Amino acid sequence: MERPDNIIELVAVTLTGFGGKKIFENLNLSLPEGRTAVISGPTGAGKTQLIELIVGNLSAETGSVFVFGQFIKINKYWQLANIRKKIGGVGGAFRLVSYQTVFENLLHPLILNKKPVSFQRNKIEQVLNRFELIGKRNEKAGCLSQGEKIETMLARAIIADQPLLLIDEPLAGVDDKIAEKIKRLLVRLSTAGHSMVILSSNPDRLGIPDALNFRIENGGLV
Amino acid sequence: MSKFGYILKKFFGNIMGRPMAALGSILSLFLLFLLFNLVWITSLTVNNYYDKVISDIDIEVFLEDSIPDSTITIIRETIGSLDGIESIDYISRDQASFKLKDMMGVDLLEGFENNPLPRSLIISFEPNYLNSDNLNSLNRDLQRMAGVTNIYYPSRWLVKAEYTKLIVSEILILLGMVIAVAVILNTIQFIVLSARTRAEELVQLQLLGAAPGFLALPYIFEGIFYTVAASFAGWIIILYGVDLFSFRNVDIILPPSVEQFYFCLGGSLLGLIGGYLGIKREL
Repeated sequence: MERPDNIIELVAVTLTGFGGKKIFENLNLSLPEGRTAVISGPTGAGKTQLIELIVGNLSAETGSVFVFGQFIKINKYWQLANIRKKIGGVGGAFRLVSYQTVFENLLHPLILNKKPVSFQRNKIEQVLNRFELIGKRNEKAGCLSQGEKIETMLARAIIADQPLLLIDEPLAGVDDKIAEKIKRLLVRLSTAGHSMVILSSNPDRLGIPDALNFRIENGGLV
Repeated sequence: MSKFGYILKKFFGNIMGRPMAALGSILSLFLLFLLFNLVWITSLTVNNYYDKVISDIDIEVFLEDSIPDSTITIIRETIGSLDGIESIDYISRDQASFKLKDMMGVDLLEGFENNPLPRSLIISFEPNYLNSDNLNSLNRDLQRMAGVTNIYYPSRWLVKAEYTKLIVSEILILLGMVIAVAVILNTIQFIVLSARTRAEELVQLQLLGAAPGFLALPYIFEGIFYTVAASFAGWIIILYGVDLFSFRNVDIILPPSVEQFYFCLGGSLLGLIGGYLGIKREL
């Protein structure tokens, strides 16, 4: 089953959480290529579950999830792996490996996307410079501040030119100065044509121009 | 770093990063393999001992006093045409008397006017023919022959020896199966523990698009490494032990090198299965 039109398409998705609580009921979402969707909603509304559905960590009870035109099936491991290689993630399920260095964390997408060995080091240096993290190159991810972690995850999310970014609460737990830096990065990525889904409980703080704004309410998107 | 380079790095990292755990895993598996090796060697030694003893077995066929030499020749030819017969020796009364004297040290027949010992044929067999079923069958055939009065061979002893050999072989097979299962279960546990120390990385790599095979390979290699190292160490200790201790009355039989190689290969297969099942649980 393929739907090539949109980079993400959720059709009539239903999902029930623990204790039988309906998280999504007849949820629909379409994200055209190169656009940014900012999805807001209160804590517990299902923002994180939305990302889990898109990456195939959760399976919808009814309805369909298409990413890059392909129907997501939780037990099709090889297909999922190929789709996930094209996704960069920040926050939620996407974390840094705390006992590895920033360099090692950034290396993962490059290895998985089979980038040439000679290219890897240069690309990491380049991205670290761009994110002003070059001084943190050999620091363990677990020792970074929250802001640095988010920046490193953003760096990892784009390092292999992943065409889709899934970003969960990018400004959570960071001070205003770092938040400003992250916002600038997100705006730059959005205007550069990256397809993004940004989940935020405070979308006004993000200020992404031309973003498609949604709100999760009563199990659907409005 | 290439994908293969990453797999190798993680494989060595799993072992070198937790050297005590790796050593403990190898030692646990080594003890299991050593136990199997000991029973295997015992089985081979028992078999060898059995073959040696059984190769001395022959059947003595006692002949009627009245039959002429021509009939004896016919009996010899008839027996000689049967399967598995290596040689037939004719023992005359005089030869029997001489043998008895030689065996007892005194002439027990001194008081007899005539030599009362019967004439006989001593039948020896090809080594692969010697078992209780074949000898029983031959015994029945011989008893039906005219001119044969009595037949002697250690039939009860042979049955007991064969039973002992069978029991040792069955113990080896049973122990082999139990040890194979134990090796797999142990390897699963070692790999699960190894994977859990890198759980964070595995989860992230899965989200970043790592295929299950890519994630599993370092652990499968790790399982193979543990079992190969343990089975190899098992043989080194056995060879050293056999060399160190001399057994005066027993020849310790070791399996041929090719079988020792296959044993280590079998060990690696168990490691592969254990490694695969272990990492499958964690992915």
